[in-house]
Amino acid sequence: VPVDSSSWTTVSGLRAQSLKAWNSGTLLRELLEPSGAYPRRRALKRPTAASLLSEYTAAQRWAAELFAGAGTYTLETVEVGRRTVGSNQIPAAAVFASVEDEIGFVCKSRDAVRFRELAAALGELDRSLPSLGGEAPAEAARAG
Amino acid sequence: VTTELQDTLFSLEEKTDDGGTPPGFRLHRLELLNWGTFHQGVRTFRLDGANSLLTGDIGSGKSTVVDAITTLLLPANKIEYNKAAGAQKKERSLMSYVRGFHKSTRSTGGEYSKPVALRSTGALTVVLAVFHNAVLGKSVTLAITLWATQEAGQPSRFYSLAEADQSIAADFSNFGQDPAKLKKKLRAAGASVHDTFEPYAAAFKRQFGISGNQAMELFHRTVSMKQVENITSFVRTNMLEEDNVAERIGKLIHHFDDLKKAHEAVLRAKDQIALLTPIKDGAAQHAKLSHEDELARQQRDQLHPWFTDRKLQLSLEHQAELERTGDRLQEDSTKLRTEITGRRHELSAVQEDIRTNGGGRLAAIDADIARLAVESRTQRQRFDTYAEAAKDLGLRPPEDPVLFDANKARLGEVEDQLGEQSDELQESRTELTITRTELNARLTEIGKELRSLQSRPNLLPLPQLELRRRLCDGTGIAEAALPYAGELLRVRDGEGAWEGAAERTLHGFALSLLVPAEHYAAVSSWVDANNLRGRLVYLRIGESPAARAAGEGTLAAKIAIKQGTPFRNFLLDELATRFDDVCCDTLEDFRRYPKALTVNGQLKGGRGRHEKDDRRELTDRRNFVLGWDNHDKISRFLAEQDEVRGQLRVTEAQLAKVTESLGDLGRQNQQLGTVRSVADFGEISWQLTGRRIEELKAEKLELETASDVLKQLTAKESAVSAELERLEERAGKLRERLGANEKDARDIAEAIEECRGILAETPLTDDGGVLAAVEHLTKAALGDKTLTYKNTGTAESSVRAGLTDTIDALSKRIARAAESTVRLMADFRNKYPNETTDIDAALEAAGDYNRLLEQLVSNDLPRFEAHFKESLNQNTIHEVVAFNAFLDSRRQDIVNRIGEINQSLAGIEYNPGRHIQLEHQNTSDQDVREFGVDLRACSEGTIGDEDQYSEQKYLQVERLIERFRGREGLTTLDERWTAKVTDVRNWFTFSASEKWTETGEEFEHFTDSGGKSGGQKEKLAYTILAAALAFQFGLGSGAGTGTAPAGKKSGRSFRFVVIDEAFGRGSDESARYGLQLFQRMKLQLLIVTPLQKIHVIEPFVSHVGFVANTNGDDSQLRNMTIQEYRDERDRRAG
Repeated sequence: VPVDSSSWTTVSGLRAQSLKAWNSGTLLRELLEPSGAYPRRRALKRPTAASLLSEYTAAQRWAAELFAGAGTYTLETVEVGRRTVGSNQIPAAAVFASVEDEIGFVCKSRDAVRFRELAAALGELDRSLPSLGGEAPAEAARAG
Repeated sequence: VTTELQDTLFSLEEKTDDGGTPPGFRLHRLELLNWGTFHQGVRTFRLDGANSLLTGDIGSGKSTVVDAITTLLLPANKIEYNKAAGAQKKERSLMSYVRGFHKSTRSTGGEYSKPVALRSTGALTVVLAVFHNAVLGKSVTLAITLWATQEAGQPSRFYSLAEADQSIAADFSNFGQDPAKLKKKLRAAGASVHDTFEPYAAAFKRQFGISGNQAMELFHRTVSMKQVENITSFVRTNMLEEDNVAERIGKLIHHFDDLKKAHEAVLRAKDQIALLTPIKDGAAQHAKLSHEDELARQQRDQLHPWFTDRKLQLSLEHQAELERTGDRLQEDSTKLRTEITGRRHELSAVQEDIRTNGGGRLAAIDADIARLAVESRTQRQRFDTYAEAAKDLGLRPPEDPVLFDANKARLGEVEDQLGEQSDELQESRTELTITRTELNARLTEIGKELRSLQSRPNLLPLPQLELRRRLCDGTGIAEAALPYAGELLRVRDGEGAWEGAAERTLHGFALSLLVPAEHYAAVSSWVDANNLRGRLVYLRIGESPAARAAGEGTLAAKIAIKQGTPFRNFLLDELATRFDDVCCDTLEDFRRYPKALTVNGQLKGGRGRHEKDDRRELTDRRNFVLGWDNHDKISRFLAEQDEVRGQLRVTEAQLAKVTESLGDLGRQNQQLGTVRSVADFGEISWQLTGRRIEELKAEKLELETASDVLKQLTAKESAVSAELERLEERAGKLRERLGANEKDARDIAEAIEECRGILAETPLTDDGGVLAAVEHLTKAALGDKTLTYKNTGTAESSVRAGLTDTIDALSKRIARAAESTVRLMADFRNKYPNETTDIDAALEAAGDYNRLLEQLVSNDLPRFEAHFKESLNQNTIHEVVAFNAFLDSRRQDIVNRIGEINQSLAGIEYNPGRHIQLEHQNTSDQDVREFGVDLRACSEGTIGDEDQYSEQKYLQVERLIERFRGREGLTTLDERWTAKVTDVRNWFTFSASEKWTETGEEFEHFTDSGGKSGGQKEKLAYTILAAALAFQFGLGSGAGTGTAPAGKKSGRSFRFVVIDEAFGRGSDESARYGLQLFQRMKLQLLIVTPLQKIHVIEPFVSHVGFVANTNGDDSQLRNMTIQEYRDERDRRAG
């Protein structure tokens, strides 16, 4: 029996996705220049109906963890398993209402505030500078 | 279909055609030692790898041979012995073969007798089979050696496998009796020896090139394969494995029991809470009401002090008000007096003026008129008195002096007349008075006599009379015939003085009942038989003695006997004998006589006995019992009394008349005095005086009209007089008011004093809450009215009444609350006695109940619920899902198995150019479908929702598991249901599709409901079986894939199949098809069949094993070629 559970997106998997966006600077750029990408929907790899049956315990634990972690994100659910374990609502996607929420999810809120202050200070110095911050924002925030 | 394609499909067949060397391992020889009824000595069945027939009569031992083969190839616990014969599983066992139980065969029929063993324990049983692969030129010998160490249970055994052709005679003998030595010997010969089946099976499977796990199971099922009824059941029972779900279900049920306990704990706690909550509320309500009651009582206790206090305050205010009013009235009074004095002066002045203005005569006239008016009234009175008296005396009214004088003249005459009348009347009156006195005396006498008589109307005490009445009722004797002695005796007239003494002495005798001899029997019987409820003395009266006269001066002489009684002589005798006491007037006499009696009732009897019983008054007639009926006498007295009374009435009437006349006379004498007192007519001449007054008035009018000044003065006088009158009236009123005011002041002072006294005794509480409540109640009771010093009493009583009502109502509600709460407590105790052993059903225990509730709500229920949730979500639902997953995997296995068979089927030509494919559909069986739904419902919505307390989920799970367990009354039904729905094979129905091999198009579809002939179905079943065997035995016919199984490459394959004749019982044609098919697939068949009906099989068979068991306990096996067999048969037939 193939083990399906290893491929499902867990909270830490989701966080890894968001962290990747943070590291690439996408999140901070969004902070200064909103692109309209939010609310952002991040699809989750989820159990199939068959694996709900064969790996019920794991699926339950997986869903519970995602549900418990909800707050900075909300969960979209789909109905799965009508023919196997009976119909169940399982998480299908995590939705971040705003970029701040997603930054909060990866625990970078303080860095984001710092970044904003720096961007504003730069703006005071020279009107052309904020866009520089926009080029490599993560480094800018880290450089502080 | 080209021959080329057929070549690839049936390559094995071709090979045989070419070389004639049959491929794979085939059974060469079977040897049996001490196996079942094959007793003593080695029996050998030679097949030489060819199709063979095993035949013999019913009960000869065919199945025994087949079971020997299966015992070599399958673990003993999986074998259903005698399967081909359709026997029950328990009927034969490995042990029964080892011991040679031969009386338990089915052929004995009827009840099974206790099995009889052919061999004792310790005898060695060996089953040995030699399989030979001609292509590889290799032999493999499989053998099982068995011996029983005890009477019952499983025999000991070991398995051996040798890659050589062994035989029992050569290799399994001459080792001594110890099986261990045999093992050693076999090992030494190069055989592998195993104590358990598994490694042995692995070894022979390796040798035979069998890779599938189910190969041997299929082999086993093939043995017992029966006529084909329909495709679905054929596939289900023969192609698919049965699962053992019982254990899993058992585990489910076990886990569910834990959950159920947890659930019951929750329900119990909830129920307890539901019961305890109203107890708590009830107790709280009771406490609240009790508190209210307490408050109301406190308020009521404070009513009197509070109202008294209010009254005191209000009275003090009123007292001050009264003082102010008194002062003001005093002031007014002073002013008024001054004014009156002024007016009086003014009036005097005016009157003086009138007098001086000729008013002197007027004043005189007025005075005369006033005087004369008085005089006239007096005269008129006297006149009237005189006139009336004169009329009474027969004189004329004194209208004028002439009449008056005439009257005066007649007075002397009238006086004489009156004197005469008076004398007459006085005389008559004296006479009448004497008569009346006489009559009265007589009446008193009669009355006394009557009272005496009437005081004892019945003489005898009532109980005594009642007793006699009952006696007479009971015996039918007339009451008159049974007199009491007293009824016949009485004290003689004139001896009244001795009556008391006589009564006392004769009392006992008088109460004796006299019974004549003729009634004696009846009376004595009745008396004996009945409860008398009293005392009865009766005397039997026999022959009457001669009459005896009583002695002079004795008591007897003072007693009279009723006239005409038959008991007279008896009574005389009794009296003279028993009551001859001398009645002594003096105590000297009394002391002198031996038997004597005093008038005071002292009795002196024989032997110096004296008695005086004054417990009852001597003269109390109520106790007197002597005397007979005295009504006659009474009525005589009554008549006389009436007469005397009549006379008395007449006398009294006359007397009254005389007295009245005397009164009249007296009055007339008085009036005579009145008339005489008027000496002169002038004393009564009121008409003259009247005339004089008229004259004076006329004169006054004349004077008044003569003077205007006088008129004015008179007017002023009358005005001032009126004014004065008014003022004086006012002064009077003022005095009254002052008086009243003073009285009020005194009253209020008294009231204040009283209030202070009360408050000193019952001081007002300082509890502000109570006082405020009382004040509030008072306001409500007064409504619009205000409290004054006067209405405190009524207000208090109305508030008190209200409070009393409130308290009464509260008491009732308290009682009700207590009652209902205690009842609820009792209910709770009845339902949960264990929790309440130390708790009573009483209000005092409310705290305990509250603690129970508190414990349940804050601790137990959450704990139970948590446990329940955990048990439900973490254990039971997981178990159910695991069970579901297991069943699903079994379902997948079946699908896979069908796929495998289909793969194999694709390589078998069913009809030229066409092959068969099995198709599976989900069953339409309602139970199975609903079971799936129910199973899924248990886990529906459970993901991501672990913490929810779900009664519904529990019920869903319960519904399912209770059916697994078997509900009460439905056990058999549920058992059958469970077996059906949890057998995944039942989830499918199967059908077959005949397809064109080239194009894959369907040629025909076979379903169970398709109405195919039995032959067709069997043909299909053979095909499917062959395909399954080909797959499992690794014969490798994968359709067109070209990938041959491993077995084929190494030339190792297993080609031996045992089938039962019954399988081909349908039609010759289909049997022939099947045999041809097996032949095409190069399978060695061993066909087990009874003697009949083997003509279809014969052409396919080369060896025959003939089993015979003539004695029933010794089976023999003869090996023949088919030709020999035919000859033998012909010979027998011939």
